[in-house]
Amino acid sequence: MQMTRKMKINAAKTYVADKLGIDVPDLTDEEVMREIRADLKIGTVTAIAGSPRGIRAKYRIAEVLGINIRSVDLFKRDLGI
Amino acid sequence: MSKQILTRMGDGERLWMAASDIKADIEEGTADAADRGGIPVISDAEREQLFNIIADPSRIVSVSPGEEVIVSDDGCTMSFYSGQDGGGVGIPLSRQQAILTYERACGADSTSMGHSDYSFKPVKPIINFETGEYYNTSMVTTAPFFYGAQPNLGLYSQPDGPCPNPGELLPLGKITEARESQEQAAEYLKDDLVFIGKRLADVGLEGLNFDTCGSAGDADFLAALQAVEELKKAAPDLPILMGASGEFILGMHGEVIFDGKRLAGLYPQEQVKVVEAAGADIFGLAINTSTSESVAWNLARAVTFLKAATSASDIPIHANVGMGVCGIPMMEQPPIDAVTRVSKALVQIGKADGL
Repeated sequence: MQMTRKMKINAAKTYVADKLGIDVPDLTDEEVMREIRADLKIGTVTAIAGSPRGIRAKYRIAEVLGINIRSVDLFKRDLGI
Repeated sequence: MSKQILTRMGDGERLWMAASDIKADIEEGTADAADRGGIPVISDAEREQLFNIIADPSRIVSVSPGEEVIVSDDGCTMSFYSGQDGGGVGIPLSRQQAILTYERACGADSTSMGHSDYSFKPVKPIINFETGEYYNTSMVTTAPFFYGAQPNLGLYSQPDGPCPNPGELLPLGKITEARESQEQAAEYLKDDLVFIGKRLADVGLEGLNFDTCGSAGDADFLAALQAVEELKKAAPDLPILMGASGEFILGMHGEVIFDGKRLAGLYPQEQVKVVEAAGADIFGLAINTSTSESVAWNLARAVTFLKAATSASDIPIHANVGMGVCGIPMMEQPPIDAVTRVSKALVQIGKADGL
């Protein structure tokens, strides 16, 4: 959010927490975020075979947050999405 | 007898200091920043807060849950495979392996890659290698992924570059010639920054880091500002982090202007406004560490400058916390006690948006 919207840290955290439907302190709660990351397919810390990582996870992150990620935009253009 | 507190000097030396001496250093540090920058000192409550952070008996300190900030870096992944002169630990990893290790094993908030020289000029002749590696790696990274390097105007002066060396012209009293040389070098530098930025943007660059801007003075800073401006016109969606190299811009030229402001001598609260005007998304703030003063003195200065900058800024500010910057001791293995105290104070008192 700082990179794409020039948001300062508190505004950025509030934006992301709202999009995820959680409170700001939950963003750094490993127990909460582990489940959210797996459910939303935005990439988990430990490796789960077949679970999104890299461009697949970033594709989902861009959708969830409603932002453009330039590598994802290029990937989508190449695939005609 | 005053309570003794284990702390450090700006060169990393560990020592016991009396609480009264630490408080005096905090007073002097914030007063020094205020005097130099023309900004307010931190408040009595903030001085007390800073003292409590420094005096905390724990080896490692931290912010409270919910106060965390994110971390960007300047070639941190190079530290996996480089040697001592790059702050590196010498593990035989490829760049992509180092980036993924940093992201996944270290839990990095963002990551980056760059040329080992970490200047933009050497990137130009190998741009196809860099765009190829950036693209390949961006397909497997999940965290925001920057390409970063230093503008480093010095590489455009003889014998390394095409322009007469201002460092040789100035002692001869050839002020006009030295200025003309810097202006020419800045033009070459700006063109290279734009060329490299555009080529990387074409392969899906997620973020560009102009790191340590102004290291060769005000013309160096100007070239970076002009490059940001031009790149934002060509690729408005390209996020750009522009970081400074010191607490004020060195007037090696003395007369270069951007957005109606003379760049020479600008302090952070003024630097961030020209960076904003250029169109950058994040500003990296750097405050010099004095090795002969205590961490308390250095950190008081850093939070004073930072607080003034974050108050003036409309864009996020990341405080540079590398070796010898923003209160971190100037040594190749910054001690964790000092690093965490500096980080906590910069966030809680300076209101940093990131480190």
